[in-house]
Amino acid sequence: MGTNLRWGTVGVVLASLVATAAYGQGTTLWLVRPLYPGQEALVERTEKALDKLMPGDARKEAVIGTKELAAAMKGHRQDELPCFSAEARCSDPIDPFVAGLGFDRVVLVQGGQDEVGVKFRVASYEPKTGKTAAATSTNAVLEKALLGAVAKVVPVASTLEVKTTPAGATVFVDDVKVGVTPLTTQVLPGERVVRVDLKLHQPVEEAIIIPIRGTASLAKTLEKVAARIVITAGPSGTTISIDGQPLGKDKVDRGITPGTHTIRLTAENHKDHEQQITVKAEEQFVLDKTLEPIPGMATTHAVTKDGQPVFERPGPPPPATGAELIYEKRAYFQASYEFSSILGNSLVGRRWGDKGVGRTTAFLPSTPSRMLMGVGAEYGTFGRNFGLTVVGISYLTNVERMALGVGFGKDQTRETSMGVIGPTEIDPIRVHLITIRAVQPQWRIAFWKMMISVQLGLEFRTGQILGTNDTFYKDGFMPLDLLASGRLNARVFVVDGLYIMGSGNFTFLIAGQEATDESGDRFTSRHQWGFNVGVGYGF
Amino acid sequence: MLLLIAGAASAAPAADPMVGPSVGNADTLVSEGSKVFNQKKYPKAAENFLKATRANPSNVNTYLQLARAATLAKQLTRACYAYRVYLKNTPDSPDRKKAAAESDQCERQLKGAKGQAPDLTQKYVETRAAFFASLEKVELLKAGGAAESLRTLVDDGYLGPDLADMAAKLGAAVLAEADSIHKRALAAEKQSAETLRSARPMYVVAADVGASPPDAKARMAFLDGLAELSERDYRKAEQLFSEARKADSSNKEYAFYEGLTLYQAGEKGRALKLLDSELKDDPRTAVLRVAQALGNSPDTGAVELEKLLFSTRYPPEK
Repeated sequence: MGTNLRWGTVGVVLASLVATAAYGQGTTLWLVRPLYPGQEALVERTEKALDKLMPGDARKEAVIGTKELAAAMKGHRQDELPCFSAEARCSDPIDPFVAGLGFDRVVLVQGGQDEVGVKFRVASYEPKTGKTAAATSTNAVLEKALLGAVAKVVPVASTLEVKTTPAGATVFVDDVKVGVTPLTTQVLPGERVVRVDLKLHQPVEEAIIIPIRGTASLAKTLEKVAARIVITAGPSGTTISIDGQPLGKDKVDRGITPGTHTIRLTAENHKDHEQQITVKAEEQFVLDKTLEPIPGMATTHAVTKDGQPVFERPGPPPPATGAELIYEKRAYFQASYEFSSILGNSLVGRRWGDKGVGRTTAFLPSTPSRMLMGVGAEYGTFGRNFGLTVVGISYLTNVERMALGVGFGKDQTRETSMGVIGPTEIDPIRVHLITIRAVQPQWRIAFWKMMISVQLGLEFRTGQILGTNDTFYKDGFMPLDLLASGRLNARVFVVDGLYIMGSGNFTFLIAGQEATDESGDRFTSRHQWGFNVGVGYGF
Repeated sequence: MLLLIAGAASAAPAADPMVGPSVGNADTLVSEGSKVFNQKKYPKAAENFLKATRANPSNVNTYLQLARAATLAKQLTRACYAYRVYLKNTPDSPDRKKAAAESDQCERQLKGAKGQAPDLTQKYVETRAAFFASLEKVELLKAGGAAESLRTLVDDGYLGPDLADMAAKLGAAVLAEADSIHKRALAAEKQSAETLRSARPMYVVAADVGASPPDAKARMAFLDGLAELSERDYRKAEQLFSEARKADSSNKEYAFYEGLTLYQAGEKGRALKLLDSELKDDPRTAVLRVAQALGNSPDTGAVELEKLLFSTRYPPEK
């Protein structure tokens, strides 16, 4: 319905314009071109809009576009061109030539669409006088923008009469104060919003159509109110409630019963405002309040007071912070130097094959520490806060001398070979441990140039335990353990995606092999803790 | 003597230049005169020196050379007259004493000589007075007018540095008149064919006194062309405008009038072709282009008209 009303309003005004332009003289030629390259489709839309906006006789006196122009020119002959006659010579024959084609007025329209809306630049040219006038108008609605520009280049004043009972009310036309009733004033044609305002009376606002060279009248009896409140609130879109009842947005101007009332103003991302007021009879209460934005919240003005969308050209984005840059890194690869220690007294590895019954058991007293050292690498991906360790691998070996007892598997006896019973100890030993972790969930947080992340998951540990001087257990022992692990990583980004990192980890044995010795003691591999330092690159 | 002014001036035979560079190069003439003088060809030498005084009347030494050559050529009337002119205009020359003696001797010889040309000193005075009177009354080309008086003086052998001043004044006067006609013609002011044609002899006189503008040929052809156009002789008019256009390509109005003549003659296609080539961006060409396009095809014509209006009647955005 709104659209119909808009078309209707614009149509009447434009028809008046055209009728006036062509009145008693000749045809008006309307030619349209795109304002910006590549917007040829807008020409057709504009021509259609002009066609729709000019019903009846006005349309008959208009030639719109080159197609209609070609049709109008069919059969037209101009026997002698101006400036080309034997008698009358001139330097510029365009004006008489166009007038000779039968056009009293030519309206040249250039239209384009950009982020602000539809922009029209319209030039009116009168061939008989050579006069030109140009105007520009922009609006989100094509028809309004078109009419806005067209109306300016055919500036014909119209009369507006406003009467009120009682008299003395202030009259505003399109929010511009024009006088006090009774009032007769000159206004531009088109759709105008007329508001009459008198103290302690209910204000009246009405949209009326001002015809070209015509008169529009508005007569109103203003309703007296016991008291009145006028509340203007910002930002645009602020809801105004009185006594808990939402009464409107941005501005409320109405009568109110005398007494105490509660005003509440609310807007998105802004602090609410509430205030109690006491309005006495025949008193007018005025409040003009702009709400404070909530710190840290972006304020937007999505719509204007009349509900039209506001398009704001975005300014340059603020420079990204270090944390934001880190969050943009969605994958990483790192290499580290790793230290680890076995938290316990045993490390169980097993042997394979026909004679594979030997299993390592407890560390011997000749083992001064259980410190391991090695290298590792890891690749992972991230969303903003959550990620995944795709795969990580570590290799560790003993730093100091280590020695292990050797037992056997459950329900087995000591391993023998060629009638020789296997030794109960291997001393010293070389431990090669390989830890593989995959698909471990991660959570991260970034601040300054730093990223802290926590990752949890399962690890698989294997490797080889070899007796350095042992000739019996030649192939050594293979640990096979499943561990739960937790890692706390700290990364400091140095340049671009390059970072240095430190990490602490703890691995907890979930499942592993068991070993037994002659005394019947049973052993399993133990938990492990460690830390890494390294470098990596986030991308 | 060939100053035939009225009527078919364009068909008149060219008169000899009177004064100024159009006569010749004064230094060259003096040089050639001296050369034939040494070869004892005194009549020829006298002729060269006389021309040199016409080419540059301000150089008084040439009068002495003329006097000596004329004496030896037995042209005593001219010789004595040249001595007198020289002595009158060189009061402080170191040659004066010798020249005065030669002059006295010449006068003595002249008195005793027979068959010499008459002394025209009195006629010179009268003709000179008539010249200035005509000039003041702006009677330039009519019979007995300034141009004819100056021509008479030159042809009668008048000598004197003031000849340069007289020529300059006449040149300026005829140029002013002719240029006024040309200017009005360019402004499309209606002028009669007679007036338009009167410009040509003025430019001819201006050339004869060394005051001709470089585009005089183009102007004469243009104004004659306008005269022919007004009499609807399109063929002659086209030829003359074409001549004017080629003689002065900087003045595009000549091209327009050539196009206009073709248009008037009904050769609209040729007219547009010429104007498109010579006056592509001129509004008159644009209008002719649109009119031709409308005549050929309304669709093409509508597009051409749209282009014309947006390019010329759509105010630029400030």
